Amino acid sequence: MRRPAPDDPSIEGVTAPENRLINHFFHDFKGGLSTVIMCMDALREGIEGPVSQDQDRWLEKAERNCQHLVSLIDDFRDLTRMEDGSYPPEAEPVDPAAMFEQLSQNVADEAARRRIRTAFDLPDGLPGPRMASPLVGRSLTRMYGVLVDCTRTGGLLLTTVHVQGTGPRPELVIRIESEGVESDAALLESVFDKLSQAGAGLQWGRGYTLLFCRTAARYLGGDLVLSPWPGRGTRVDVRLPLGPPGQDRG
Amino acid sequence: MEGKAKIFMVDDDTDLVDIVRSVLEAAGYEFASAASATEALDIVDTVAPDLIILDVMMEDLVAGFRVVNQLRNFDAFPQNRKYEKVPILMMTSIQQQTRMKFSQDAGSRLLPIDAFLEKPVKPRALLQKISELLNR
Repeated sequence: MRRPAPDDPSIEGVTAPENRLINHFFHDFKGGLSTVIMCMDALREGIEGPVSQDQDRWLEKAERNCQHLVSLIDDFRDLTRMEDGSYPPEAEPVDPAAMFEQLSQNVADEAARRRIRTAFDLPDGLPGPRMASPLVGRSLTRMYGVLVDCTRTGGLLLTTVHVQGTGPRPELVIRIESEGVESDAALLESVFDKLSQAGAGLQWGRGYTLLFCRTAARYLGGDLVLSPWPGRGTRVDVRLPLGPPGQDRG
Repeated sequence: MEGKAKIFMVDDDTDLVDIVRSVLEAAGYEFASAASATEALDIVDTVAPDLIILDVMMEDLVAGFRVVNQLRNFDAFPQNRKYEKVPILMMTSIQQQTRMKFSQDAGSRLLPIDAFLEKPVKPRALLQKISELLNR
């Protein structure tokens, strides 16, 4: 995969067919996994008679691993579509307050287990931007999963949101700060780009998180930057234009 | 709906068809299947389904869309008007994120299906969706 230049004459000749092939391959891969998952679901639901508690536990493990693979496939497919420009340019109104509330709920159990304090600083009346909301939601969910993993027990995970700029191209600026992993920016990249083994017990799927989130942010015309939070941990800055995707796409 | 409803599944994944058959028969439905769009269109009159579960990519990339077009485009296929009230549930591994739009209106430019489920599908979710479609 590669990011095509807008006027690259070879895009149609090389990149798009390659990505179509990848998409077809993953479609078939996901189809097989889906069948396996449905088999296990059917057994767990007792279609063929009751399963024991131990059998259910093994089926649950197998199903969870398959679901993780499906999730990785979805990420790969979306990455290829963002890179060849075929990701659907749908734009829907996003309610930032609801989006961050959902993120908070997603990590609540794990945060409570490790006594991580999550805080959100959102000004009242944030505008409801139009953007590819599923992409933004998935990206931030992944990033939060990694950040909770990397926040020290008892540490703070602080999210600050504001709108920057006025006129034709204001941006939603999201800063997420995690008390925990602290290092120079280059090493942070490798920490957050870790390729996890499928089903390594990570609830949100750490694999490809940084690649996926950064590609999504840039696809939407913004960016994602990792930097140290001096003396405390890691800082993630995400900028997203409030206009619809496709405008000034980076 | 009175009596046993007949569900017609069109999918080239025979293992998946086998599982769905078990799930639906256990729930009291009659079941029939076809492994391609071509076969589905050949036998749909014989099957006379009450609901159709349809995959997209089968013998070609848009095989499922072809079935929908033929069963819902009454101008071109007036003999298929008898399927106007037969719900079509599209079940595919095309991601929901593609935001594929669908509509129940046969004349719509949108995909004229009744519901969409993305694989993998939980048996319970499938049964619930079928029940909703049959009883609306």
